[in-house]
Amino acid sequence: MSQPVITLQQISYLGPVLVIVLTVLVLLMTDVICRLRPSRQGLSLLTGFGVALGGSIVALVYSIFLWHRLTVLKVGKLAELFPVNGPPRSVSAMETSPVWSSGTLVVDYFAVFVCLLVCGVLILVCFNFKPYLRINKLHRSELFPLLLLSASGMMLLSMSRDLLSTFISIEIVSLPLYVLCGLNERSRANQESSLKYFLLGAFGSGFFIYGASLVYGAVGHMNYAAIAYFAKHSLESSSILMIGLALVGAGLAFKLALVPFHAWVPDVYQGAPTPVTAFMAAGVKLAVFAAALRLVLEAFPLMDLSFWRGSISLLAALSMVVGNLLALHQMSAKRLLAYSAIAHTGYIAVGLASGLSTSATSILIYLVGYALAGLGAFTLISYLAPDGQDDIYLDEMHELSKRAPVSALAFAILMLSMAGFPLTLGFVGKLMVFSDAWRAGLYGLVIFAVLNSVISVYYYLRFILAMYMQPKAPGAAELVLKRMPGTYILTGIITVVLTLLLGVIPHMLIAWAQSCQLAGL
Amino acid sequence: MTLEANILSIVTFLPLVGALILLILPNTEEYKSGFRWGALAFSIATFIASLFLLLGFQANGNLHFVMQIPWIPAINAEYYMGVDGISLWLVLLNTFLFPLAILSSIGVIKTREKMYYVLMLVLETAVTGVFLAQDLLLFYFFWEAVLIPMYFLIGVWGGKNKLYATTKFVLFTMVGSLLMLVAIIALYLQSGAINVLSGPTFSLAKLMALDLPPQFQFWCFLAFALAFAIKVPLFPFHTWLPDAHTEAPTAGSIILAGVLLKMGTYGFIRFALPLFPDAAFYRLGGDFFNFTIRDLIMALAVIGIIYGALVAAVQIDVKRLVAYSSIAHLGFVMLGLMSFNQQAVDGAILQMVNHGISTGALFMLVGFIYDRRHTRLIADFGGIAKPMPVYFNFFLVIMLSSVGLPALNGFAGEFPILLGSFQVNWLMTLIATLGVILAAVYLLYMFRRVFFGEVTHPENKTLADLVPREVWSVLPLAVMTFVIGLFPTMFFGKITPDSHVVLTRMQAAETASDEALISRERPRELPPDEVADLLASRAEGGAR
Repeated sequence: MSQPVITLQQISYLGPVLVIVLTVLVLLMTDVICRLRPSRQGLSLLTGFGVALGGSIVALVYSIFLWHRLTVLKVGKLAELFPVNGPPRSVSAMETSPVWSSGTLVVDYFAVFVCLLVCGVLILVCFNFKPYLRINKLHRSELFPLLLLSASGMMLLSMSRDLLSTFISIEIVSLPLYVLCGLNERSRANQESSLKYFLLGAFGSGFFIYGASLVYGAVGHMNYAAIAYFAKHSLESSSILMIGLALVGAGLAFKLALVPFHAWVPDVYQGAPTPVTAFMAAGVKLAVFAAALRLVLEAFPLMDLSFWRGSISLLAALSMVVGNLLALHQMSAKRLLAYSAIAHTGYIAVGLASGLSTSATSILIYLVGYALAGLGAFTLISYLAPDGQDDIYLDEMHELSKRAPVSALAFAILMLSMAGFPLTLGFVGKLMVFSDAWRAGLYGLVIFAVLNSVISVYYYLRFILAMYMQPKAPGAAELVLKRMPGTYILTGIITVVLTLLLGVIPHMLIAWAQSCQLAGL
Repeated sequence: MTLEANILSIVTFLPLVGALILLILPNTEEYKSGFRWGALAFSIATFIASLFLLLGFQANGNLHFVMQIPWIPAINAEYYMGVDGISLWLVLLNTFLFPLAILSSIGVIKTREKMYYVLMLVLETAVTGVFLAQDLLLFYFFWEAVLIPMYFLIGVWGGKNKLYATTKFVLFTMVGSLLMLVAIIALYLQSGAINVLSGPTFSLAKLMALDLPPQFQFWCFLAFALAFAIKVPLFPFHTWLPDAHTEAPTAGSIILAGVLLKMGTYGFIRFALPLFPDAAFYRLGGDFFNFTIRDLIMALAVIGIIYGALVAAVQIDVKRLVAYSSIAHLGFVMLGLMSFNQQAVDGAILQMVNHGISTGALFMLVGFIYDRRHTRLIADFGGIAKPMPVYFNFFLVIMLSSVGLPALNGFAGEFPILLGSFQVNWLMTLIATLGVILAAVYLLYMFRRVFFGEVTHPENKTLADLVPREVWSVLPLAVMTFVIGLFPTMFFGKITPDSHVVLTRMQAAETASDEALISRERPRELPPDEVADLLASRAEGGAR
């Protein structure tokens, strides 16, 4: 194998990631420099926020620029970085000419679109953090670098075409998040959340890396193209490869919180600082699903269909039913949304199980809808939550529509979007995902998913019931409504308006997402 | 852009514009009357706009005032609106009932008035859209959009048990409509598989042109029919209705009974039957006892007629009685629709309008008395004809129209239904006719106990008669019962050409299914020697 040459131009296609990493470095360095002063105060909150926001916006603009390049050049991908090639060792040692070639990282429509979305999520989460830190009197200057670092991992994840780079990206996403969950050292819930997330996350990573090593043993490569090639050309089906891929899948399922790998979700979501929960719900889910999509659509299609489709369908069905049933009677808003997140993972996995080339399109649309609704809902929860607490309870929300009509309306719209009512983006996502699964012939699974969304309607309506219809419960504490911070208002407006606008006129979004197809069946 | 092309969009979205305007007004005391009269003004303006539909409408079996522009080109969804004879009267009924419902709730609704009137206007837009959409996805959007305002109307301004009732209402409807969504997806993908060149479509006209396999039609029909049967409601799916009606505020009940239930029957005649004509004649059961889907639905409709009437007869609450009578009345509509006979179908379509008017008016009248006494129990009244003569007269007219007295509208609808369905299935029609008698029994019995005799409760002696606002809200309905009752041909004339199109389709499917049945049975009638020949020739073919 010749030494791959990396040109400056190819590096420039990693721009969004590089911009974010550069911002992280700038933030860390200036923080250190600030601490050298006699006052030993770190970087001020406002400066940190400003730089982080600036970096995210530059990365967003850079991603738009890359998207523009893609459409102008009329190519499927801009670059394949760190290419590897060759015949898989195990097939034939005699063969010398390379029969496949693939980059470890690839910058294509899919990756750029995910980068765009990650930047969008990042900006909204930054908006969330600014008032959150002020209200909770947390002067942690390391917060924004950690947040951005995690986001850079998300971007890399969407480009990874190799089990190793996927693994590294997942770790880049996760490690900062473990710290972020325990942001507030005074809050026991934060600490608990952080520790649980770390332990179970490490467990999941262990699965992944062990599976990857088995795959390497079977195929001789970790590249998805190699796996696909091996699956097609190897004479006998390799049980080592299957076990390896199953373990890799389990590792991803841990990160995605598919049942039965979901046990960490409720405690971590509830205990983490609310903006971090929002970031996990919107960002991590997006990025890990991007990785799962690449793996399934690029490495699996030539494999035994019943093996991977069957297992993903099973996980999807379990996630939907367990998530929905456990969400039914939760009283804590964040815990309810955590269980509903499990159910949503199930719906998205239905799309993953269909494994069509269009699945990437529909899942991305679903994820946009879910990210918007999740970000908006968690923003409103952190606004409504009493000072020093991270959560609200449903019986505290009674009569909220009279005291805070606009927030209540926004919350209701976001819940309807999560429930998948038409006129909201949540419906468009469900429509696309289910129609893909139907096209793939997963009739039973689609009907099961649809009946599950009826269950979910019940608990989403409980929020509306509480805010609009139930009289105040006699013993319940009353929420103290403060003036709403400007950035919360901005986040709320952006999420609600986009949810409705893209729900009624989804053409542009669908057309963009349609360029993001991956290989698939 | 002419008025001709935009009139349907105006009729549909004018109330929504009104709702948005009301929404941005500040919610303070001095704007309170602004909300009331603003909502009324917008709904009246919508009604006037909808009258233009009547002016330019020539019944000829085509869609009128069609507006067809791309909506989501990426998935071939269109903003495709059109009106024909089947939907014309329902749209007019809708725009006619809303101003009256809003007028009847002015002053009655005392809490959160802004939200109430905004929701009423949003609801009007959604319902009109349901009747006009010619694209399945667009239809589904409006169909689900109806749910949300109604959910709030029952849940916020409802009675004691409102939370239970409204949640039940939404969940019941959602089960049906989400399965319908699956069927829409399946149909959409199927159309793409058949017409590879033009791609998948949601457009009703294009989907109707497809030649779908019978098994596929059967399952899709079941999904559509479930959604519509829950909405109608057909007999075993009706349990949400009495709760929703009893707990809903008066205007909510008027709209719910008046137009929302019609979405179900309309769905059958517009979507479920024409899209899947063969499914209606799909045979279930074994060799000895089999029946078609159509028989099944007719039977459920007849059970609904008798069941609704019997349960209504023993109600002690007037509103609940009217709610159960709705189940019976809608049973007639379904019976007529499933007869696939010109008279019966036309009667059924007219009966949808009639039921909207008379049951809407009944709910309104029950609401008037409830506002005065805060009770709806029959036992709490008695002899109130004396203190409330105007009320008594209105109630009499509306009640008789609901009973089906000739010269009033109920008769003009029910009679053709029975006449037509008798030619198709005399036994079921016979049983259904019993329902007409039962309707007279329970309504007259209730009427006697409420209005005649001595005033038994002293607080009823001083009941105030209807105020002008109330008279104005019920008078147009009472007038319409006479208009439809005396000049039904005026209405039938616009319905027939369009219902005929659907009917031809259904009758063709019926003929095809009969032929299939005969050809399936024929081998059994073959004489033994011919069978032997047949077997021999088959064996030969197999050997070769």
